Amino acid sequence: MSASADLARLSVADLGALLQARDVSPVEVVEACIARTDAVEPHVAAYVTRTSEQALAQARAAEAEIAAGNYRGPLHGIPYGTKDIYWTKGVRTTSGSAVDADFVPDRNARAVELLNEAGAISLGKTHTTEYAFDPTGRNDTFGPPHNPWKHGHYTGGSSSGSAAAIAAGSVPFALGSDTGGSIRIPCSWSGITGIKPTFGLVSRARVTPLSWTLDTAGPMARNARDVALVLNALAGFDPDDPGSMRHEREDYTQGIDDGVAGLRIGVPRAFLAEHAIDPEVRAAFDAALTVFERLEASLEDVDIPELHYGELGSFIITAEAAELHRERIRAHADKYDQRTRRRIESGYFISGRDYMYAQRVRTLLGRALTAAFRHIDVLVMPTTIAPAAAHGVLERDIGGRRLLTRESALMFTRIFNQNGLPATSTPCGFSADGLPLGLMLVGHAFADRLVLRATATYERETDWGGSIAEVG
Amino acid sequence: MVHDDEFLPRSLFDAWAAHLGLDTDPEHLDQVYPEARGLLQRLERLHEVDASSVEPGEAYRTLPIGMLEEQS
Repeated sequence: MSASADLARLSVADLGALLQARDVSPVEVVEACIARTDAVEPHVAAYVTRTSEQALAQARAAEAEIAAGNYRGPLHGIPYGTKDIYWTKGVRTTSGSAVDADFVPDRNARAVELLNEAGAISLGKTHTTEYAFDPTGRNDTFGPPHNPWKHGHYTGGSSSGSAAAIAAGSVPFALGSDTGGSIRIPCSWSGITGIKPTFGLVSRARVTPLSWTLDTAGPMARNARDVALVLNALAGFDPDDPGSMRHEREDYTQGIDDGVAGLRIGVPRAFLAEHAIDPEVRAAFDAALTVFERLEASLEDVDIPELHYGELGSFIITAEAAELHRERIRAHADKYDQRTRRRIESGYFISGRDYMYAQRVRTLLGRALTAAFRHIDVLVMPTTIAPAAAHGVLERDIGGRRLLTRESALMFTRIFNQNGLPATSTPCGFSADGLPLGLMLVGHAFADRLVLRATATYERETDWGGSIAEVG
Repeated sequence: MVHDDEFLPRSLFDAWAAHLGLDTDPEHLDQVYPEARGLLQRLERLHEVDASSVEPGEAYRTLPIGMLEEQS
């Protein structure tokens, strides 16, 4: 294996250490990641638009800065992928739709501005499902990425290309977004780590919206420490995002090595028992619990019947998406993927009363979670009830039940969007046919650092994540 | 209780769709009908949840107010 290929396998933290010490230059790192992308892209199709020339120019500038002693920090010179709903100045932003196939923003998303300021270097725009409104990765306009662990399978969505790029070794981290699970599902299905941060922690300004009360921007990477490093750059109040929250600045890597001894980890066994869960997922989840026990965390059974209200998220997303897209559909109906269009249009039928009622039930769920988190520090569940589906599979049998693939993907993740709680997904095993399985850890509002610490601790004790798929 | 086959008859759906401004091309409505019908059936079940303890004015907040109060 060449030195260049080795660089493309390294984590953000490891690359950062090499760059800071000037053992490698940003140009070498970017060239290595471009070479890896050239090799894997025909097999995984992670990108809608690649920006290699721009990236190399930025790498040369970063090289000069670092050589002059102006090292900006842990992301300086690190390549990343940008989900194609984040606006990028001068680079088209399709949002996964033919409607916006030629949209070239004149400003960057705030998150992209922050990564630029940190010195990170985008290698291009990664695929998303149309307007981020599908959890599988399906996109009939631009084509779905292939799961790097198994060709012909979905990566999970909607941050599908970001997951494929990270898992295939094109980039060590990427931007994703999560409205009902769109960071965590692709992390679960593609064998990587990501966080849906607390709602309001990361700006969504100039990120194409789907549902303004649920959309959450966040990072994806190959391990929790890298996710924390990227979150350090992204977190902060932004008056341009109406959902942004003022919160004291934190270092999300602080205490990440402190372990989980004494932490109270909640397990909603009764809720899980009532759900169809693939046996391999259930076994991997049970094995993950034994890891936490071994690490002297305290496993607590929690009974939260209100977790069953998670489906209300679909009503809120669909109603809000309908309002966001009403005029656009009127003008460009034929350019929409017709399956996306009819899902959005079904939201026209949700009345004001229904929407309001869903918001009230959402508050009930929030009260129940508030009560539960008085007794636990972290809640754990499988991220998804089954591993990735094959391309084109719209329904599947899981745990003895016939389910829509998209509904099954969202089943557990969407619960925690309703109240904006921070939640990670990290790899916890592989199915017999080689597909990754994911573990979700959820925390109290603004307990992102604690959730990342628990996630990192689990990762150190297991070897399910951190590596890249051998593609091709 | 509305029987499944009585829930949102097609004729009612077509009139409603026209009122809401959807493209009323029958082929298009053929596609939207099962999607909307399924969504509304599931929504009916949500109304079985007793949310009377939540004042409507309490409901416009993504983060749970209780958690934020406990934190401050």
